[in-house]
Amino acid sequence: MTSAADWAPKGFEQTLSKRWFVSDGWTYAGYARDGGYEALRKCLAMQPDEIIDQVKKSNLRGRGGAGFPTGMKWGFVPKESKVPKYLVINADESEPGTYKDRYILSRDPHLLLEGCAIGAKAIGANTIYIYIRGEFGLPYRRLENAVKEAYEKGIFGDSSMGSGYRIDCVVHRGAGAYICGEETALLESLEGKIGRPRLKPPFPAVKGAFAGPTSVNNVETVACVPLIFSRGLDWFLKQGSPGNGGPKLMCVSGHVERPGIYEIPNGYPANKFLELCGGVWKGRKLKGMQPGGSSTPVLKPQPCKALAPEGTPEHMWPLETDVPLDFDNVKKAGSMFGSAGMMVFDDHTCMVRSLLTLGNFYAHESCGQCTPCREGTGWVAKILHKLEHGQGTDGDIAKLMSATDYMMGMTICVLADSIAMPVKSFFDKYRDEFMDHVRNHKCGFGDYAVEPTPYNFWEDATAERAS
Amino acid sequence: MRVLSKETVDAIEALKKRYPTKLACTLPALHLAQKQIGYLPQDAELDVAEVLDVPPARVHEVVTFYTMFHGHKVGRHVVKICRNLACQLRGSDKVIAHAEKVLGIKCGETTPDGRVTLEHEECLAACGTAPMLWYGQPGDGGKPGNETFVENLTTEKLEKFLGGLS
Repeated sequence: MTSAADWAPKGFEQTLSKRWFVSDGWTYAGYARDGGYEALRKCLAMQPDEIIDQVKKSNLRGRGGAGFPTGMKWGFVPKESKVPKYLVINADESEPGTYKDRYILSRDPHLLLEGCAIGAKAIGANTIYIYIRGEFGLPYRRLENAVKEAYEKGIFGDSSMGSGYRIDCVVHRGAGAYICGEETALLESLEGKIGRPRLKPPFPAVKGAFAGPTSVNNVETVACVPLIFSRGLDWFLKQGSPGNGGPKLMCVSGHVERPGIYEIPNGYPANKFLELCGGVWKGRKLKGMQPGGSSTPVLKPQPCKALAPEGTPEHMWPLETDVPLDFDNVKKAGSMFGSAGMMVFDDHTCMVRSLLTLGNFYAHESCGQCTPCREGTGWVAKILHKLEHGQGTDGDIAKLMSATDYMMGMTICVLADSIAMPVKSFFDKYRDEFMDHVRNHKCGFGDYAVEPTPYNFWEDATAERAS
Repeated sequence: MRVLSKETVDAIEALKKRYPTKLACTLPALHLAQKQIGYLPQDAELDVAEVLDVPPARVHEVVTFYTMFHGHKVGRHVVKICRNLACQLRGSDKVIAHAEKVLGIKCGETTPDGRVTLEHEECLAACGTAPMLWYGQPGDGGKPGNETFVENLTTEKLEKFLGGLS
């Protein structure tokens, strides 16, 4: 399927992903044809405070995982500074299950660049660094091309669109480290060091890149900014739910009929969203899903009191997996919306095995700076390996739980929490499965490996050949 | 200079104006050095340290921290197959097993003729096109087609792709 309408709820107008379906949507010509850079022209004539005020009112929240209000973040950057200020874009997308930023970078990079330029003007920065994941081939080439075009067209340079405001933009490639998606590790990496998160405070808004006041923003967040000014505040607020402005790119993977990226309004119910994805594959039942990437607690199709209005009788409670998809509601349901990388598990899936895969990942990616994380992630992976291979004991389960207790909130960054939370939620919700592994001394799911089953969503290679 | 060519050194020098510190050029400089040599021997680290005027230990720790930098010689082609959860749910276990069978090596090894290095990779942000792999030629990275994703893998597609690497 290649038509735009297949990747959004019926009647919902796509704005973030609309040019993905246009063959030259990634070039300056393709972007300008759609009224590109007009929002920037407006913003260059505005006072920085006015821009930040509009972004605050838009209820735009950070799409990288934390959901922090973007306008507030920009407001934290001091107006006066003796040292240069920076806008840093986090394009180090590596949260398992998430792949939205890669499509923005490779299919609509000018939307990002326009947002960057507006952000730079808003916080008073003259230099933008876009930290892009090192493994990204096509997205990097497309982004570099877009930056080059933007310089040629006078978007970047000494006088952005003739306004007299200087904006420079540098694309910086990472070199393979999940931890560099953490904002302070990213800044360390940008400065040429190994990616170890920094102690906060000082926060980046005070002392960030090269010791200057810095705002670090996710790709999708910044790509939303031009829409606020081109479509207007009212339109933007209507695209979302209360407190969660704007449209949302939703990545879905795992056991659904049609994995891919969908653009939905914030607050779209998860059960309806799963229908949009063709439902669980092979006519199987939903066992659970992680709504926001690998580090978010798993949701199970079981009644959830927190999602029901006050006083609703128990038999009418909605399911956890019916949650409206926005930061506030997913939090109510006991998980996190994170980076909107939904991973879906069917009822043939061994949850211990799935969790082991995540455990191995976090053990591999711990930067090793804090002991609770360096040792804890290793313990989690080892114990899960024992359990999955039928060698686990009751004592191991107790050890697993105590290891996660020692990891949560004990470290400089949240990488340790990012595995501790899934471990706790997987164990809470699928306790019997864990106990069966201990009791029966084996995994009851037999050979777990499924046949390679691609859905044939859009490929980089095809896109590059076509250009 | 021990191993870096004049072109590489010039390209590194040109990076300096993009950052307020020379140390910040470390990652892009190492990408350039690896593109020239195919991996990063100690002499390359020393050269980069010299051009950037930073302590060699600073460069060495960066080379060992990031997975894209190869401190040892690797094959002409590097193939990294994603083993993370989203790919696993769509069959990457069998893709990895098949690649190991076809190439006759385990992940982390290089074929005896120095043709292909096979590695595991963690999530590469292509979960909608799972299972998938990353392909690169470290000695010629950056050229279109030489650093790329191969997505929507089946065992047949994988076999055809591996067979095409010379």
